[in-house]
Amino acid sequence: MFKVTLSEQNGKIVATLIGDLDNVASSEAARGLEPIFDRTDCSVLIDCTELEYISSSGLRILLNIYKHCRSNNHLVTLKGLSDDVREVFVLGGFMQLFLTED
Amino acid sequence: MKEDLKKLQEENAFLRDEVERLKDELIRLVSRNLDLSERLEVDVELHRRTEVAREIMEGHVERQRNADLQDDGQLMAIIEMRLEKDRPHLRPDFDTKALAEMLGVSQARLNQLYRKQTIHRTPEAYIDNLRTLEALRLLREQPNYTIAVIAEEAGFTNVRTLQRRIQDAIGMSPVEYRLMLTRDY
Repeated sequence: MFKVTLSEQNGKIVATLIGDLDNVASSEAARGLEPIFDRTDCSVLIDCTELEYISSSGLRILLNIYKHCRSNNHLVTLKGLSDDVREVFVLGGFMQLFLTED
Repeated sequence: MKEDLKKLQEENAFLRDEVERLKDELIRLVSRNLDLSERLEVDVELHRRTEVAREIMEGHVERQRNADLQDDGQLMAIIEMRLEKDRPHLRPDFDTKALAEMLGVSQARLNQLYRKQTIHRTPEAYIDNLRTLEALRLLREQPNYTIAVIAEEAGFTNVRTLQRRIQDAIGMSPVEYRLMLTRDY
């Protein structure tokens, strides 16, 4: 079961990922996060507090968000990574690209 | 002073470019890593599906072969081999019907086979005997297991059945059997 929501806080887009972002859920995630690519004016905070699993197709979506924000000189921050999810990000080499906060 | 400042600014600009270049390289490597991970996931999934299909096909072929098998000795050998390999009798719900389905033969064929070929006379008694042997082994080799755990591990639905079967088989209760082993040592 996966759910994605978008909101805005303090001039940032906040994307909240909930549940398992596996290969099946990745198309739903891509659809839910699509509005981010229409914006060029702000940074993005990805709230992973309730994210339990992420597959490589999920990581690819986040990488595309990173590339989009970078091309517009904005930042992407990951928030609330669990140990398991953090390990996936570390192994994928993502921790050098994204900022993180607890 | 001005020259120093200019030099520092140039150095700073160079380092910023270098950081950006390294980030580009990192993105390229991360993308490549994802490509390989996705390909690996596809390969693993394909391998899993192939294995499932192969098992289904092999099971089907085996059941077809067994259904046509008239030789009682061969069928008995196949049963012993399958039970030894997969140990399905350790599941409490494994019964004559499940054994017949596993082999692809009718229950009537199994009943007839056991009447002729074994001292147990019925498949049920044969399965019970295997469970009893397993329980005796666990009583010997696992002194820390409770009787309830041994009943579960050996495939009995309850402790009472285990006690009855062991009493019938060796003339003593599971606890008495354990005490006897302790005394011997």
